[in-house]
Amino acid sequence: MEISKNKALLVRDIARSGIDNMRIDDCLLQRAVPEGPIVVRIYRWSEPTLSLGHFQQIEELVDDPAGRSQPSLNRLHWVRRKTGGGAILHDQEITYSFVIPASKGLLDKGANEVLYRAVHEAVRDGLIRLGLEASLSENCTCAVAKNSGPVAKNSGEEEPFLCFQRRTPVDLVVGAHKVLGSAQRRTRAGLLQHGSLLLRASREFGALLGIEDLGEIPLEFPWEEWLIDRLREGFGTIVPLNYEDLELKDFGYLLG
Amino acid sequence: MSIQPEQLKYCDSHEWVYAPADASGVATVGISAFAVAELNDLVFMALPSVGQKLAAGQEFGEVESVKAVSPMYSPVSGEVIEVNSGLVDRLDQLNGDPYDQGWMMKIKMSDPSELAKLMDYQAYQKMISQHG
Repeated sequence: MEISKNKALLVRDIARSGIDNMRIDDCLLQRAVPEGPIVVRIYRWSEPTLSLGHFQQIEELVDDPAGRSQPSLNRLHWVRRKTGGGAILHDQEITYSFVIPASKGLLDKGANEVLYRAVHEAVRDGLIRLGLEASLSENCTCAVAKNSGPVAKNSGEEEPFLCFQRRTPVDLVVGAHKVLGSAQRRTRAGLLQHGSLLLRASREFGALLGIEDLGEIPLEFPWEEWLIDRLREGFGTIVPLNYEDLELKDFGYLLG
Repeated sequence: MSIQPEQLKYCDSHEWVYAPADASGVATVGISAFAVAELNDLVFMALPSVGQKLAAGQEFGEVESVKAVSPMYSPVSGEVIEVNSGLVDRLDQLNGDPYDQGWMMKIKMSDPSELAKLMDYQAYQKMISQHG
């Protein structure tokens, strides 16, 4: 997929329910048109919510070490994402999404690693400037089908249920702690990428530490604007874009 | 059954269809070796149910690799009459043989003339060779 458009609409959204957040991202992907702009959305969640990877079942949480150690996770609201990967606890974090319309010609299948890396390396560099020892994981807990025999999910080598307890090579870590993970969906219309930047440990699952737990960050740090700047930097390594801030009322119009 | 890639028709979204004249309007569908290579590390797959009716271009299943979910699109219209359900638990078979062991569904075509709109092997090879 080429990023051939030079316009990006930027939406600083309000906190919404899990169902609304996922519905909006899905709608943005479905409405992507070849000549349309890239839409970037920064958002939070109105209550602690689990978003499950597209192929995950909530019942899997009961048998997962995370669910056994913290049974209250099973009582949270949950929603299923259209993107892959593991479940994310949306509480003390910021979520980003962007939709890039598909270009003409052959359609791509599978992950676009260039986009994963562009965003994650920009956030990594930003965290390093804030004094954190951030790096890409370069490790993998993935269950894959490369070798002969059934895939790992069927051979007893279960991946952790929670995304932030998994590792892929492009995940962003500070020491042993994952602080940014992203996932994608690619359709005829375009590519949707979600990502979650973990700011602080959640009361719902304290084992996962965030950036503010791992470094000396100024009080009231403007994370939303900081993340927007990192996304601009990341996209800038691929193609120059002109950004236009989209007011929420115009955003509603865009969604129809 | 031994399916050779040269015998197949292809979509721009990398699904192949095998519909020989003696198959009584039944088409076998899968995804190309090029797509399997692009997908790299497959972890999940969902396939349609027998009896499901599909239009050409409609999603019939999904695959996940490296946290990316990609739909698969039916090359032709018709009713699903058989699904390779064992493939979901043996995704490695797609890596080794996307054309014989890696077939995904058989569909009773409602409009076989749709096959003429698809690419033949040479046209598909040309497209993927031009693909950046």
